[in-house]
Amino acid sequence: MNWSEFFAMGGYAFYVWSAWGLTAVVLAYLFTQAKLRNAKIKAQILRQIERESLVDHSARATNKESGNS
Amino acid sequence: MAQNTFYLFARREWQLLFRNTSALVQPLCFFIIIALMFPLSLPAENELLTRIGGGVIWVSAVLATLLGLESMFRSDYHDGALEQWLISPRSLPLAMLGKVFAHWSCTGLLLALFAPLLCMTFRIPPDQIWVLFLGLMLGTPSLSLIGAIGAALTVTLHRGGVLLAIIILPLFIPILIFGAGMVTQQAIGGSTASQLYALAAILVLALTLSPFAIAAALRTTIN
Amino acid sequence: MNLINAFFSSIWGFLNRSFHRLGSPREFFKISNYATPIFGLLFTVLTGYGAYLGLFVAPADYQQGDSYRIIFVHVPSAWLSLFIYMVMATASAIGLIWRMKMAFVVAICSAPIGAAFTFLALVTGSLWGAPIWGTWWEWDARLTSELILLFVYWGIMAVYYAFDERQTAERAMALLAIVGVVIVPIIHYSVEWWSSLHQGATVFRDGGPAMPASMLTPLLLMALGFTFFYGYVLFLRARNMVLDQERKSRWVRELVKSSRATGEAQ
Repeated sequence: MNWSEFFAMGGYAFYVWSAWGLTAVVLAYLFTQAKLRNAKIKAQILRQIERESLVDHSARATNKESGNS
Repeated sequence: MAQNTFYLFARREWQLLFRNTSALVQPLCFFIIIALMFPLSLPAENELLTRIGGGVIWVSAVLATLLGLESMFRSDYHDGALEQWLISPRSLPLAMLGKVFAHWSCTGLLLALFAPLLCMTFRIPPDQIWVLFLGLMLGTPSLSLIGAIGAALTVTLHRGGVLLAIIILPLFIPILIFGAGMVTQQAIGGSTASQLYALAAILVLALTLSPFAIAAALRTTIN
Repeated sequence: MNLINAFFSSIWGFLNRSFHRLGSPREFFKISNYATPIFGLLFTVLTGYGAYLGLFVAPADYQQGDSYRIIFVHVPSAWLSLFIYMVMATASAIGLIWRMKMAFVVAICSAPIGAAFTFLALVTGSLWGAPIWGTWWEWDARLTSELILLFVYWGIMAVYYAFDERQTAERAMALLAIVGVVIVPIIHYSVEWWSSLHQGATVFRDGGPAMPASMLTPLLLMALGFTFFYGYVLFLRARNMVLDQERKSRWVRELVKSSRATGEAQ
């Protein structure tokens, strides 16, 4: 197996490798985009949970205060 | 009642269209202006104009139909008539067929009737004018019927015009190809039968299926 | 007789149950937990092996030399551009008829993937055409109808994103996808007829010499691998959409919390 010959693709290197390369890029993009979106949604939901628990705590705290006074 | 529904909606549409005559002639003016821009943008050769004239007139007709479609359901939506149709016991697909028929008679039919005049400015020979007219008569009803689906889908959107063009123009392509192809075939002396049949088949398909699609689209977008 | 009857009714029962299970977002999530990695693995193995065979093992074409190796990415992309449309339209119909939430999710998540493969089919076709036909763009029937298909995909996606309310958006998009199913074949045949009139000879020979197995095997492997890739990304996207839509529900919150606790990627 001669590597330089392999990469030359019989003179069609530009066409063959850009077609294959572009395909790889698009597939990788589809995959990465889905993964990033997943992480983003999960982070959003976590933040929402935390915010709600904070509101919950402070609500309880104010309830106690008003009950004490 | 079935016949009545069709007639009622067609009559209502005609009344509304003839009340506002300026809106009635707008698509027609648009059609003529677009078609006349082509000779001005091309090298001054009469032969070239004769050759491309049929295609130019077809493209102009498609764009003018598109312009007319945008306002098809808009006023009905804004004055609340659309919601009344949805809850009325009358058959919505049939009603929409009547409405589209009336709408077509004031846009597509007008365009088809004016096209021969435009053809003369392009110096298209009479036999081709006849073929073009026939193609427009068969093709523009399909344009209106298919386009009405898009108009019904985008009626509630504030800036639905561009979206309407994006979703509907690709669907117009077969009609454009067969219609303009008829003129080309006639010019080279071939038989135009196959395109004529194709246009007729598309029209039959559009007549039978699109009223239901229009009704479904209206039921989807209007809650 | 009874045996056959029992057999079919149990199969029907199984299909019915799995259909209903898939219809519920939560059940879908459970099933996709297993299905997603399997699809990803199958994609990697099949495409990897197919690419190896296609690039290293398959001999050069006696007419087109090595340039024909574009076929191994071009044809699978073109096949998927149509296959995904059919899946999208079928899912749309199921969604509209049975009011099934998950069917809409499948339809909507398919559209961008389908558009991506249509784009790939166009660009790789153009890259193949440049050395072989001597031009980047030919008004060839297949290229032209592929371009129109790309616009149809864009239109469907544009309709979905134009509406604020989700239910309206998904039903409008599904309706347009179904209308497209009727018209896309007509577009294809009209374009084919038109290009035969314009070009005289077609670029691709119909019924040309049969492809030797050394070329056909990698092509089929790549096509199958790409199909699993579609399924894989579809699962990923559908899971994201379910998480997004059900973010208020208890099970999603539990799931997100536990995934943080274990540090899982999914």
